[in-house]
Amino acid sequence: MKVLLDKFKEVSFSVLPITLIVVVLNFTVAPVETDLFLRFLLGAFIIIIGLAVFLWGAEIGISAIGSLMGEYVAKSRSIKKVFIIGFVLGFLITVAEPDLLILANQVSSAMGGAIAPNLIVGVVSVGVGVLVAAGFLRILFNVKFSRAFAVIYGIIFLIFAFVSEEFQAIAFDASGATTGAMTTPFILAMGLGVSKLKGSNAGEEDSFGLVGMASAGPILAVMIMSLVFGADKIQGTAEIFEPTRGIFGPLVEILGSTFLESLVALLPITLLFIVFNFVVFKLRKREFLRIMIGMIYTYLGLVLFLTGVNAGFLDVARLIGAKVAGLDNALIFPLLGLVIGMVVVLAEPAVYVLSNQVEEVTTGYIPRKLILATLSIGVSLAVFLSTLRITIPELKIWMILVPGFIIAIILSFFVPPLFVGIAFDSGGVASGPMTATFVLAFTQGAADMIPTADVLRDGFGVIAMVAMVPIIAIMILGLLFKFKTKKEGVENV
Amino acid sequence: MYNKDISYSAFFVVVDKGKASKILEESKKIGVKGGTIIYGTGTASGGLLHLLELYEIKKEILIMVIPNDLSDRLFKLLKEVFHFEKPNKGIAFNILLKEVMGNVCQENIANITNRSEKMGYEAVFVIVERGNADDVIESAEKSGARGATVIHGRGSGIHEKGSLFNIVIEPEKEIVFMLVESSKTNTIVSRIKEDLEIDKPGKGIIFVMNVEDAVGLVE
Repeated sequence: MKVLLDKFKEVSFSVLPITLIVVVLNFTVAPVETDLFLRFLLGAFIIIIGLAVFLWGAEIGISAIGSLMGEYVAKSRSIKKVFIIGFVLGFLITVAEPDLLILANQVSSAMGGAIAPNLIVGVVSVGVGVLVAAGFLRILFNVKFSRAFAVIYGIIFLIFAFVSEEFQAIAFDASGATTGAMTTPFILAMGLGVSKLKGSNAGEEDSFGLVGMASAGPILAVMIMSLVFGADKIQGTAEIFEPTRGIFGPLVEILGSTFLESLVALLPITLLFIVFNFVVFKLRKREFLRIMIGMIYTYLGLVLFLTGVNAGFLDVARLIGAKVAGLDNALIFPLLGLVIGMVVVLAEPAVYVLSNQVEEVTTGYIPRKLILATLSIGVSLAVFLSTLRITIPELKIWMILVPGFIIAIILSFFVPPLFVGIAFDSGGVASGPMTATFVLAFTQGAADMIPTADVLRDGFGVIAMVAMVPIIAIMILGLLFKFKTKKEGVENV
Repeated sequence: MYNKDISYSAFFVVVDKGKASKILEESKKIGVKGGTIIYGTGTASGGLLHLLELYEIKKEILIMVIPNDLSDRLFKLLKEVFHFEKPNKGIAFNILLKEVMGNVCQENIANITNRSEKMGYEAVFVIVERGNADDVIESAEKSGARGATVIHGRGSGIHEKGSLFNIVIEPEKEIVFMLVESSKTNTIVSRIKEDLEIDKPGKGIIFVMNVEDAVGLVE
């Protein structure tokens, strides 16, 4: 039982900070209705249980499958085969992601229904598939991270110049929505599996970076699509926000829909694993069972977590955002953004998985806590920048994103390769379901309130920030490590 | 500079994950010059938990090469500060070393005990900075070793004192370990010592343990 208890303890420490902040806000500047507040507390409790179960399941289920698949890919020496398997795995894991469908619906309505949501899901999944395959090839051909990312982001910003501001924001948001709680552990583990076969030195560096590659897929896919279909302006308008009432009603309702959504999300990869197991892996019964039990944990945990987040956190975050932005003191909103960013990232499941993997792969050389602290600072700044963008209409999204990514690319040539991979991965990882619901709702609520802001244009794009700043933050950590690891007193002897 | 009068031992501590760094830090305070930490897993027994797949416990193994007379103080430290006498706190043991080489105390140490005449096997451990394991294996194989195992770990010696926001950075290490015939130990060890300049400060450490018996080795 100690294992599970330890997990609960750890998870509580990551969820309690954000809970505490909402409680404090509720009793000070932004009181919300009692039923919403109670539902929020209940949601936080469900999230803790869900996250603990999910993480345990991810470790023995989804990560194990990803690792096996990665090893299989690395063993197949034919380039064509590596590309096809990489593509199929990337496609399959994305096409079922529930967050993506929600986003596709939003995009579809924003484009005036010109494109069906399913087509958008398909296009984005193809994007992820191609880039996962490209990521595999990068590892096998020993192309440097810094070069690969320079090329990819070079292409992105070339297209970026021709895309409308709305779709610039949506493209980056799509990236955040796709690399979610389920896909990230899987892609991370695939990278680990591929790199395992590469021997001691290159292997460690190659364990990371695949998520970073994969999260560029949706950005490219959405931007290219908006160009092809000629959608230069968003036509839809945001619906008027109305919080759902009641304590248990909304919880139960969302529980029902996430039950099905999560099942759909997990099925393709589970079935693929079962087929692969009979044809290729041929695991012993004991190992096979352990992975299947892991998948059940993953499923149950995911359902609880998403229910808690969607039912408990969404409404409260939006209300708080609106209330705080409406306050006379204009400083409170950006400052609160700073604090919320700092704590919200701790409750991201994928952040948990990544930081653990970093510690594991480096045998503790890069401690988990240091990664968490760095991401915390990074996301904090990201949310802060987003609040500035909402309050200052002249500040466009490209003014932050373009210089940010240029800095990131330049840094990547000086930072140890291990950190480059981790940095780009953490960009995809930091923008998970917690950010997508809580922070996005918080900033949209504020955008509702501020007359010069536009809910669609300013509210979106938050995820783009959250996906960018951590990249720079982790690279700076890498530089610090580079200088600090030098031996002392050796030259004197 | 070789200090042949002192005998050395390898001190092993097995604890739950996350605790080894603290123990290494405290050990350094009483005179230990450095240590290497590797990851492992242990299992706890229990029927139902096994069925639910809830049993894996992550461990850390801390290896320190110490002058023999320090071991009593280390055991005392583990009892008094880390309460090893209570259950589930961890285990510790030390093994007398045949030979140590490397700049551990800013002075070279080597050849402590006389080689036994009996033709047996010995276990050679080489701890070097990450990335150097391949070189170790290459020079070992050139001088007659048949194979080696590499373990990934982290650790710090007296030359590594980096820290970031109060978190100690322990650089990554590779531990190469091989079973070799006693008659070949000397050649292999001195070859590795020369190729990797182990006796220069901060380059690594080699130690040799006596092996009573061994199977699975192909002549």
